[in-house]
Amino acid sequence: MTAATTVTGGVIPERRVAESAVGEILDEVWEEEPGLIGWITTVNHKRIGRRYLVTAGFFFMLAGINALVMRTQLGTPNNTLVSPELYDQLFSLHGVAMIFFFATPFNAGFGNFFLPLMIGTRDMAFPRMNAVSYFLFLFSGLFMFSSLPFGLAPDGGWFAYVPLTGVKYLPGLNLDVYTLGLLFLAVSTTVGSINFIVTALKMRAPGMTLNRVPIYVWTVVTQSFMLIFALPSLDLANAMLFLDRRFGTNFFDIKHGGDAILWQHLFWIFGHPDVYIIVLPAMGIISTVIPTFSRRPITAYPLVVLATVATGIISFGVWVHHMFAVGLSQVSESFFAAATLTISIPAGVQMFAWLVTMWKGRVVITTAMLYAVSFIVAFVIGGVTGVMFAVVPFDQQVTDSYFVVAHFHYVLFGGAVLPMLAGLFYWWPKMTGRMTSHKGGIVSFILVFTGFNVTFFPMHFAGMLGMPRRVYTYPSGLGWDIPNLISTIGAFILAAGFLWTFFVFAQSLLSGPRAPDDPWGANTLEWVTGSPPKPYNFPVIPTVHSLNPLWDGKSLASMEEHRHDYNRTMTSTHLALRTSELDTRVEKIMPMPEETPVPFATAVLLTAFFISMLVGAYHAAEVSFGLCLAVVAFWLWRRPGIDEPEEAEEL
Amino acid sequence: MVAPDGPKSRFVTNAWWILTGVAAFVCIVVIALAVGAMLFRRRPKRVDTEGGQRQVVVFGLLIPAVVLAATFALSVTGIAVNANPPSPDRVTVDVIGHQWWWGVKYPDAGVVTANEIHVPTGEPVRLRLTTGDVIHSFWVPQIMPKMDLIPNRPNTTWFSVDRSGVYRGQCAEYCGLEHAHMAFEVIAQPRAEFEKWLHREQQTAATPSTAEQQRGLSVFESSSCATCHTIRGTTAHGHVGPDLTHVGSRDKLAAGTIPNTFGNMAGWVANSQAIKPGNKMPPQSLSPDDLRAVVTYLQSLE
Amino acid sequence: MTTLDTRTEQAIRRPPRAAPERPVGHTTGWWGMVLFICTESMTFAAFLASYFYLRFDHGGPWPPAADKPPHLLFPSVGTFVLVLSCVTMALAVRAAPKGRRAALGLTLLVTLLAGCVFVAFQCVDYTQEMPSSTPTKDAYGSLMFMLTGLHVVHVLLGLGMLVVLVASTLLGRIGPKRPEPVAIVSLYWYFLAVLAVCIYGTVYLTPYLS
Repeated sequence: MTAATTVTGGVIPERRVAESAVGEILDEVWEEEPGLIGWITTVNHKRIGRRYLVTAGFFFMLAGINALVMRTQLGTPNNTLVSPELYDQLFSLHGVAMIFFFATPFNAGFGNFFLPLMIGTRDMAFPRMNAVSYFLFLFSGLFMFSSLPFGLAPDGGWFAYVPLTGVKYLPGLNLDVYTLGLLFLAVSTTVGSINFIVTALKMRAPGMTLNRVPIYVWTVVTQSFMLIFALPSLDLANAMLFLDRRFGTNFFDIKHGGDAILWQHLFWIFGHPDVYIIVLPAMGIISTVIPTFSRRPITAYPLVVLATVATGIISFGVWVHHMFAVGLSQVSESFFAAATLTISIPAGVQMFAWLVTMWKGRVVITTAMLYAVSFIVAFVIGGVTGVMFAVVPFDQQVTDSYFVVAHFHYVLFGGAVLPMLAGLFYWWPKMTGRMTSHKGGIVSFILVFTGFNVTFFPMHFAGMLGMPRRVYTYPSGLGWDIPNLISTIGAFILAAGFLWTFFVFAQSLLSGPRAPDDPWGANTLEWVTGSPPKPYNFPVIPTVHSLNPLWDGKSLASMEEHRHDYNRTMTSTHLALRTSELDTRVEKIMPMPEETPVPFATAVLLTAFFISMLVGAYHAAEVSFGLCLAVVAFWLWRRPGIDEPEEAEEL
Repeated sequence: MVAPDGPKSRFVTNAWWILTGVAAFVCIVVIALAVGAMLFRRRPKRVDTEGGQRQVVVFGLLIPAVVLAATFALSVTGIAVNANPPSPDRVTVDVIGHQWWWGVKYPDAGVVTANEIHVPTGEPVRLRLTTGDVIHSFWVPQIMPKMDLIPNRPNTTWFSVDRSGVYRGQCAEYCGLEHAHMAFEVIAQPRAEFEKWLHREQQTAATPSTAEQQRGLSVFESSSCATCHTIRGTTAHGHVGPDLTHVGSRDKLAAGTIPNTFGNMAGWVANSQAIKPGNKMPPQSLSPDDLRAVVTYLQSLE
Repeated sequence: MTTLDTRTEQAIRRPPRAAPERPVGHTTGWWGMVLFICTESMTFAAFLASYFYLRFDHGGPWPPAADKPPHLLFPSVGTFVLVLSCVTMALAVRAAPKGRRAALGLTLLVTLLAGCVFVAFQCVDYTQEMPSSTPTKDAYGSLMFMLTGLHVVHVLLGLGMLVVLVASTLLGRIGPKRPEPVAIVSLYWYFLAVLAVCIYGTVYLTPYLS
């Protein structure tokens, strides 16, 4: 650790003053249990957020290895590296894992860590639900991935079209793992979304009225609303499929009055919003990184917020463009073509808001900024190919071909993974208290960005030349050999890039220079806290005076002013400030829960329930579900502030 | 882009060039702006924190709206092109999807074949798509975009081919284990040739002309072959696998997986699982002589 | 001056009535429940949409020829009772902040009973429908049993909440100082009643419309 030196500058003196006034008491009040017990019982949003990132990152690695195996198989025609059974499981699991177990939870990790920090509060609105949603995510992910060694991983593709996924054509447990695993995860995601919305509505620091809410928070809230409204459709479809497969109901059984297209509607009513569920928070990261490194506030803030919300709403009206080859009526084809075009307008607004911000500002090049700008490049390419799908015959030509594979990797890798890397490099000093190597970061950027383009760009050509997706091999002589070979080479460059990135972060953890409070000169509240933040985040809850509280000179001073005001320091127990939804007037000092094993117990019992359902031990399922309900009842019984002495006073 | 050889795919190709032109322009402008902002960094003492809203509205909202409206016009044109053939069709083809091969029927002529669709060049062909099991998708990149084959929902569409030739098509909706090996061929021929072909296909199977062929037929009829396959004119009436009445005339075996040669067919009959693992045809434990006889017979069915 | 009618003048001179600060902000728990109801509504909306989708996709008579139309008596009474129980629930919400513990306990108990009646009647209805339609016979049966079944499961969840509330009331853990759990549970209860009406209309009444 001798190499660790402190980067000069970037200290927030106002917080230090506040901390010297109340820091000691707060340290004691918010002290956390160390060790395994602490790990199980913690409700601290930063620890949970970090775990989300690590776990989702781990699943990303596993799903990435799936992809590497697939790319190796497809590197040459008529390759026999993997059997079709294994290949089908690999691509299905790759899709399911990347979308459900990496992209959404990775965003949730950032959200958990930074949403409370950005709005100036001490924890999420429901800290124990937060813990439960993490454990559920972890267990459902393990549930899903542990099926692969048994040869029981989902093998119906990530959208699992019936009747193929019915018990007649895929009789194994594979699809039960799919339906149950996703229902399992949905509990976690729903709970997490509600938590984000309520936190952002009720816990913003005084003064953070709606027009001062950071764009990142807007995107997380929009995403959470989308999840709340979109996820039920997928849950219902999965429940129906499970009932059809296990108990012989007939929702999708065409012989008994069911229908195959019902699944597609239910799936895509969820599935299309899900693209934006993944991309919106990533765009929020971009809207955070670009102003910081352009040294000016974001251009057209109200338009960007409107665009974010509009994207969320319009995304519910475009699902049929995934079904243009089904043979629907011309009226619905034209309607959904128009809707598909409409949704690119908000994206255009945001795109130019970032560009104008950069041009009007003073750009500073850091790794985070490089990744942010590379997102713009990748996303515009994915965006224009997305617009092409609105031309119905063109969509019918390229849908389910490698062109679509190229398109959605530009949107999802370019539109989500690159911003996540930007966010990771940007927020790393805050999360760990260490700086990353600038040179190492640039090499990471070059490798990842090159690998990404070399992998996915040639897929456009393979698709245009007629290569369908989800084929485990292909004959030579159709012009597909060269694009596939290039893609495979790219995949290995990309893998090397991620390996290098991993080492950059590992090196930073081991021997990176210590990070100051605000190494980037950023504008949002998370940089007020220490690096890494104390468990209580803010010794004194500041008053927010503008959209850029660190740049306005007044918001920071408020921490110093209020350092003897109990309503802002709340030093007696775990407490947080509850403010009104729109204008953030202080309503109440709210008791927050202490550490508790109840979330862990709930998650374990629910895991037992899902495993019992999978193996068909229905009595065990009933017992574990009943126990789970009992634990939840006990949980509700012990609400914070009830058994403790009445500290909270009405303001 | 594949070279288009039909009105539908020609529209797609034209749309592709228009879209790519516009898309490339948009990409170049945006990428240039993004990279430019990095390269030509200004170092003003005070940054301008106001304004910029107008540029965002013009470049992010108004100009895209105009471009997108034009795209919509293109889309609606395409929907119309797709919907109606330029002239009435005279040939109807029924295509029935199976895991993992294509049943092909000419209802007017009473012809049943598999994995090969013969059509007259330059004429609109009515295509009726159904499936015997799961969802498949009919796609011939050079001729027409995709149309799904969905249980209980017959889809009717049309296509026509401009030039005589052989066009490869493939299932485009993931349909299980051997989705990768579910190809077919569209063979466009001048009208006269097509009619000749159709006439030949209408005939029942050729009677065996050699002893070996005769032996092949009796092995076929007495073994498990006949429970799954039909050879019209014999006692084989199975409906699980493709109709083999004129299998000798086909170009490929196993839905475009291997060329139809004597050796390939023998290998396929003996153990198809080695060629297309997971397909529904079990390995046949025939003696080498029986195998040779069956394949000789099948190859004679032209 | 004299042109002004004195009563109006008085009204004008009187100081403006103390404006309430604003509607009092809702608690985090209240918002949590509202959002939970949002996501549940979407589940049922998708289910009801699937019902009509399969029905009209089916094309023929509904219920299909092999099934009898549903029995009406028990579900009608059950749904009516459940809707009516919203009144006692509302009374409980009023009683909680006033500290009328007996009234609170009584109204909650009546609501709880009404919920039990609904569940019981629904089960009776299942036994009546059973021979003619089953969940596994055709899509009609699957839709009817699973849609109403999912709702019954939700009512059971609501009953669980009510049990916790009644126990809390008896132990004095809710009352004038902490009335919001009653209000929060009441939201869920009203939601269940609205759902019951929608499902009753769809599952039990629309088959008679064809």
